[in-house]
Amino acid sequence: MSKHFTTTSVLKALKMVGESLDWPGQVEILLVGGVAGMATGLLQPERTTGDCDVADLAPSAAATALEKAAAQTAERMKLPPTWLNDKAGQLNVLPDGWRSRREHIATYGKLKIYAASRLDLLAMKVFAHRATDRHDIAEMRITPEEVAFVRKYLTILKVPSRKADLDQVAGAEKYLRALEETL
Amino acid sequence: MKALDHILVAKWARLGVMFNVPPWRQTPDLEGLLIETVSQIPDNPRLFVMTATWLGRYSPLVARHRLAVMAAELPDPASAVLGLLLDTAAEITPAASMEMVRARCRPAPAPMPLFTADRTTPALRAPARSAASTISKRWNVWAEPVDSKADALRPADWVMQHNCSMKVRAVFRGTLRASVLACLEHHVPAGASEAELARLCGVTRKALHEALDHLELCDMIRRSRFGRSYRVSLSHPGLRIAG
Repeated sequence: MSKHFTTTSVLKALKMVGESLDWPGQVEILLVGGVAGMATGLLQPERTTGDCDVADLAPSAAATALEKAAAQTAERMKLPPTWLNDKAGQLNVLPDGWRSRREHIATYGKLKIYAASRLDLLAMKVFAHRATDRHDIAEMRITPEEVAFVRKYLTILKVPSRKADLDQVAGAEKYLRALEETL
Repeated sequence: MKALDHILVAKWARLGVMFNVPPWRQTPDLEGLLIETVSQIPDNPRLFVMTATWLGRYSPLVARHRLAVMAAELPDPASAVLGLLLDTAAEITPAASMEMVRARCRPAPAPMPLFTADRTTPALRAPARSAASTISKRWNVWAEPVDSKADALRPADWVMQHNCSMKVRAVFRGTLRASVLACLEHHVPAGASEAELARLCGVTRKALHEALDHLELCDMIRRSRFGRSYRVSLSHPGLRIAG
């Protein structure tokens, strides 16, 4: 079984989740990573995207209901059971203030879907700084103001409560300094 | 992404890589696509990851003799990129090793980051160098280790259903016979002399002769007298290794 998302197919899957979501109130999710970039038009649509990363869910008590709806969707659309995953949420790497910057993508039934903003995607990509992230950052043409924002974000990640990998933060800071020289 | 990349990724999509583009309208020339890909990889890290993953899974479909000849003609640093690509695929799946092709590749003349995004300034080169894998350093094109993205590949039955001629390649598993058929399909569709085919496949006349004997027995090629030599062509227009 393989998973593969285009902007259209991921929205179709999320629509199915929204329609089968068994929860009394509204549920909000925040998408990050490739799907968020594709859905907001920030990243090239040709990329491969295997994961639909959810970095935040509100209310958190709806997690079980969301998982159940995602599992039903996985069965109907022949997706892996983990197609909608919250690994990104577990990492606790969302920049402060992301909620005010998020972009509304769609609302299906009781499910309201947001994507992380350009600024937040850039920050998380600098933190990850894998080859594919560096390529995306080069394409997104980061500005000096955005570099300043990311620098502050990386400093905040060092706070023990964030539980971020400090070696990774140090690598990201080094990369950001190098990136700044290109501006 | 450049216009050419759209065609390139569409061709890989046809071969089962899940890029988010419609698959190319016909089965691509696989060896030609690999050569084209290595020159595009520096501008597209996903292409590197996905091509390495694809080779890790489907390397028996590659006509190795033909690719080895094409690899020998690659300029720098594309030759090194191909070497790294093959080594990376072999790391994902040791059985995917293509020593015959790898032996025709050479390291880049001077060390450099594999990806253009890391080449812009000396400061950007430094993190690329420190994160570089051992095999990438060997080829003088720095890149971090690759995680296989097998879940972004379509399964073999899909690849075969959408590329029927790949079944012939699968049967021959990259041997000289696969290269002969691929050359007849893509290089010399009007047919070729045995000497020309031997050159395109980088083998001796004797080795080629044996391969042709078998392909003739299978009714896949035919040899017709042409002056003092034989002209070799595909037996049936529909019988193509990549059509």
